[in-house]
Parts: sequence; structure tokens; C-alpha cells
Amino acid sequence: MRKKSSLTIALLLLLFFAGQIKVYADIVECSHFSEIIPYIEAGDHVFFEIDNVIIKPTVEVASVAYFDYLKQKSLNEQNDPEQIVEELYPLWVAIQKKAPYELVDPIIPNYFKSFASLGAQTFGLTNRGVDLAYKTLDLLDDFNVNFPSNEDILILEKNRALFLEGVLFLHPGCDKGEYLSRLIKDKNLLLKRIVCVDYNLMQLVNMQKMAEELQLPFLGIYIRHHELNISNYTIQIGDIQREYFNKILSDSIAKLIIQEV
Amino acid sequence: MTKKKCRNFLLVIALFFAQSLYGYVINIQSLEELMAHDFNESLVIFDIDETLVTYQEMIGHAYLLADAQDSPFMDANHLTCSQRKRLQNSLSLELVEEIAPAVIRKLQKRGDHITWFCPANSSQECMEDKLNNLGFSFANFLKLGGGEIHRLSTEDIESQIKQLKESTDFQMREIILVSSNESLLGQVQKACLSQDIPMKGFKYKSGKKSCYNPAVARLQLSYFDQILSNQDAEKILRARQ
Repeated sequence: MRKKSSLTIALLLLLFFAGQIKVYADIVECSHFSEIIPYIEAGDHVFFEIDNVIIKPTVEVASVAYFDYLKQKSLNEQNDPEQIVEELYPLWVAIQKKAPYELVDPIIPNYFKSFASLGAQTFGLTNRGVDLAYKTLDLLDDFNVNFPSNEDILILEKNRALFLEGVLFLHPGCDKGEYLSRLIKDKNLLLKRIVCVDYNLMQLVNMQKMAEELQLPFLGIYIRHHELNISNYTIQIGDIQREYFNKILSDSIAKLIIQEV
Repeated sequence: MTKKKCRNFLLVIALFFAQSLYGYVINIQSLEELMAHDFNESLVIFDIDETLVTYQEMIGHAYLLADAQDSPFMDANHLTCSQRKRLQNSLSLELVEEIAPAVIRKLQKRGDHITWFCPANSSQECMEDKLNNLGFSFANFLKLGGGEIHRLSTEDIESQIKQLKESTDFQMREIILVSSNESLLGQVQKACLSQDIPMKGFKYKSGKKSCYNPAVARLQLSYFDQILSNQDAEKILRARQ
């Protein structure tokens, strides 16, 4: 009887924790950056996506969600996802170069200090594109987020994969698992465990597969963002920002903005 | 004594004629008034800004009034040279007078030699495209040496006038400048005087009233090269709904 009740309690506890943190094999889900800390161990190599994990734009038109919406919209008109990415990429780069950014959480730089004190080594791993490498590093610098690394510059693939100042920049749509594997091999990294933090579950699965192939211990941390479910209203705001992007505001629109101040 | 008075009188007369030979300015309110003048063997130079075309957006007017009070350009030293050029090229143009392309066409047809002042900071190709879209045809504009369409810039006008004098294939009897810009008229007058070329200026002042609003221009400048904030995009969205 006692055995049965303790089993029930254990089952209830398990259900409770499953509700708080969903665990899918080697991928865990967190809703906030602070929840990552308990998962990090000494000697870990932690790879962070930059968008939606460390920084986010303050204008809708520059958000990943808005670009995903544009991709989806184009996908309804034509069937080649790679071609769609190539067509949208120049616009993505042009907007990103002018977009204002903020930290997802103002205390993120402190968390990076904690990771360092725990003995974990941190890297960036992003699909922002090679063309945004320097702009992104400047942004991170402004926010006091730096990935400790030597000054190595490694071009894994021209215009598609560049490792610079601790960040692996990949062209949008590139498989992070494939290029992370190439980076590990090229740099002869001796890894105790790979931890990948990303908002994109598919990319985490890709990296998990790569770790299995390399027989490396792996932990994926999936950061869920509610903003990634883009609303109709947000799309309309993004569309207006895109409409006036790189254009001079007409007198009537400028007056409209001023009048409502 | 009488002899001295007579000499002074002659000097005044000579000065008067010298001035009329080497530059005088006629005020006009419509470009059509130019048709009443015979510019035979003259080179007619048209200023573009506020003479043939004006800017649709207030930031364009602000650009012209760069040194004026309330101009946002007074505190926009952060704009790089290339940004200024891009701004100038992004501005939308409209005709000051609907008949402007027709007047130029008529002048060309009667055999007048025409060239123009390309506004500072704007690329010639871009400006030509914009003017073509407004109905101006550069086909019969002055072409020198390599066959390219000639244009003047506002820098070092004197040496440009000198070059014109040396390289045109017609006997340049006089230079005619049509402009709303008094300072430009003065600069060309001075350059012509130094090159011993008679000059006649037409100071153009259209009847159009300018309603410059510095607050609008300032906002346009602040959003030039920037993305609309979510809040301001929301205002546009609300107005459209």
C-alpha cells in the first residue's frame, strides 16, 4: 500500500515537472534565459543563436517572425524554398543593417559572466548570414556580449559560412548541424559536451543528429518565444515599415505622424 | 572744369554700358516670357532647382534652405557625403510650371543652345532620368567633345565657363542664365566678366507659394536611412483603417 502511494507521488511529481519543463530526449524547453543556467556544466561548449535568444529588433519588419511570414507568403506562390530565401536575403540584409536592436533580457550579459565562471565556453551560432557578421559583432559589443575566442577567422564556405570572433555565421536556411560538425573538425575542438541554445526546434534536431553522428554528448535548449507566433496586426505593422523602407516619408504621412504626437 | 565734368559724364556712361554688356538681370514670373527674347548664338543655361523643378517633399525644400533657420540640415552634420547624395537622389521632383518642358522644346526647335546646372550632390544620370520622366528631353541639349550631354556644376564656375568658351562649336555671342537663385546669377555674372563673355540673367520667381514646415522636414530627415518605429507605423495603420 505504502509502495503504491509513493509510486503515485513519484508519478505526480514527474507529471508536475513535465508541465514546467518539457524534456524530449536531449532537448529541453525553457521560456527564459535564466532557466538555462542549471543545465550548464563545467567544460561545456555552449552555442547560442543570436536572434530571439540574445537580441531582438525593436521594429517588427526586422524580426525573424516577419521574415518567416514573408517566406511563407512567397511559398504559397512558388515552390522553391531555397530560391525564396535567395530572393528575400538582400532585403533581409538591408533591413538588418538599419534595424535598432535591444537585448531579449537586459541582464543577459551577466548570465554570460555566470557561464564563464561555471567553466563553460560560449559561442554564437546564427543563421543571420555572413553579410551581417561585422554589424552583428558591433551590436553584441554595444550590449557587452562577447564570445571569448582567439582572433581566428575561418571561412568554412565562401558567402555561406564564416567563423569570426567566436560566432559561426551561416547563410539563412543552412543546416546548423552540418556546419557545426565542419567547424568542430576544422578547428579540432575537443568537446566534453555540446549545448545548443536556439529558438528554432528544427535546427536543434539537426544539431542533435550531428552530435549523434560524432558520438558527442548533446543537450539542446529550446527557447520558446510567444512573439514567434506572428499576429495579423504585427504583419500589418511590418508591411508599413517595409513600404516606407529606404523611402522619404511623404509630407502627408509625416504630418499624420506629427499630428498625433 | 568743363572738360573734367565731361570726362566724368563719359565715364558714367561707359560704366553703364559696360554693365549692360557684361550682365544684367531681367525678372520673369513665367518661363514662357523667355520666348519673347532672341537668344541667337547664345548659350542658354537653365538652373534646375526651383526653376524647372521643385521638390515634392518638404525635406527637399529644407535641403535647398540648408543654411536657413529652422532647416533640419543645420544640425545634420552627421550625414555623410554619400548619404547627402543618396538623399538628393531619393527626392521626388515636380514641375514648377507645367509648361517648362514645352518652353525648352520650343527654344531647342528655334535653334537655341541649351545646357543646365545639375544640382549639387545629385548624380547626373539620376537627375536626367527624373527630368526625362517629367517630360524634358535631353536629345538636343548641348553636347561637347565625347558626345555626352553637357551640364554645369556649382563648383568653380569660372573655369567651366572658360572651358565652354573654348570648346563650343558655335560662336558664343552671349550666355543666358535662367535661375531663381540670386547667388548663382551673381557667380555666373562674375565668371562671364572674367572671361569677357556678355551675360544676361533671367531671375525667375514663380507665383507658387512655398508652405515650408520645418517639423515635417525634420521628421522626414530623422526617418531618412531609418526604419519607421512600431509606434509611428501604428499611426499610419490606424489612419488607413
